[in-house]
Amino acid sequence: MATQIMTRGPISASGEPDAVDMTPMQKMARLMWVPFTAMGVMIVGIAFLIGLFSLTPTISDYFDNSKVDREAAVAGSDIVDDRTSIESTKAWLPGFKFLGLGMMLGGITFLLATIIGNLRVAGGNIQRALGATPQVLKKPMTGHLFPMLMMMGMMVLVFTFGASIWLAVQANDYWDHSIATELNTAAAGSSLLDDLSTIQATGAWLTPLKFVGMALLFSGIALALATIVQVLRFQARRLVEIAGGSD
Amino acid sequence: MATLDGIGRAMAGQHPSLKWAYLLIAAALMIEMVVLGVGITVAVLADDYYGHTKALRDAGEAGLLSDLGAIEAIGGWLEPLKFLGLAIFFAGIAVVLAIIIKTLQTRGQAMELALPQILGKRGNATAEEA
Repeated sequence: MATQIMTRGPISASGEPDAVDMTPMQKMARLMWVPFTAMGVMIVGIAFLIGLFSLTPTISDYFDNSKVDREAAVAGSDIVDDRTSIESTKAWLPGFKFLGLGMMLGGITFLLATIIGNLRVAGGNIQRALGATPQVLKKPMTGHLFPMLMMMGMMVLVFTFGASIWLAVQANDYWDHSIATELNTAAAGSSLLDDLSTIQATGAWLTPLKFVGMALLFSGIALALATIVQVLRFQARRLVEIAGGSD
Repeated sequence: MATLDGIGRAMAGQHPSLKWAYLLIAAALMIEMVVLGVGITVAVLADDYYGHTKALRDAGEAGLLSDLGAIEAIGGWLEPLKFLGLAIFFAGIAVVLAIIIKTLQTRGQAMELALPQILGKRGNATAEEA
């Protein structure tokens, strides 16, 4: 049973002939976790600042006007400009925030891959120090899956951010009209009604898709942790083997 | 009292509780996929509903009111379901972290028992060589 998941014999490594080194993916993860996490925090922070210093004053300005004034305002007026700014920001800002959170989760996945790499190197070094031939765990299925899930999750979130920007442009086009004389009186089949139905329909599937992106990233993290469990179990087993006289 | 053989046997194969973690992760992923599927259905309804003029929507023409009702009602449970999916992910991650704690404890025991034995053998070999 145990032999099925072990790679027997020394593995190639840099430096000494039987030294165990990190895999190229683990080396890349060691370099990437800091920029990913930092960019994620920055994006979420920027989203907060945009909400605080841009969206909030605009919403406040807009609702300082009476309902009649807001609806009667014509395209090009400050009131309509405020409304277009509010609606377009509300369209792209959530996608931006989710991208930031996704980058942070990606950073955590890279960090977990770095931990797995360190366990691999330390395990090899301990085996060498004990006079045994270094052996490493054959990459388990979870080890193959978690980088793929992480990449898929990031791709989904980048796509949803792109779709959010496109949606913001649509929202900007739609709301840049007078509510009373143009939007409320839009005729069936008009481009304004097309824009409205597109905005509403896109919003309905875009939010769940962001959660699918997050779900893929969380799956990646969980499988990376499961890989750590398997590495730790292999190392304990190997120690027992060495104590039993096995090389 | 743990023995090296016992630890070796306990560490063979996969941890039995890991399958529960996989089950939770798969369930959470499925929930998020279902949420996406329902979201696409709502998108079709919204596209149909908002394609009508405001006068027709406000008049509540037959079919439009049921569309509006469905769009609003589905939103009522779809939002919590998204977060239920995330909560199940966290539960799965918590299970794996609990397994890591247990594995680290057993690994510590293995080191406690194995290292004196390994170092003792090496000491004896060095003494014989001398």
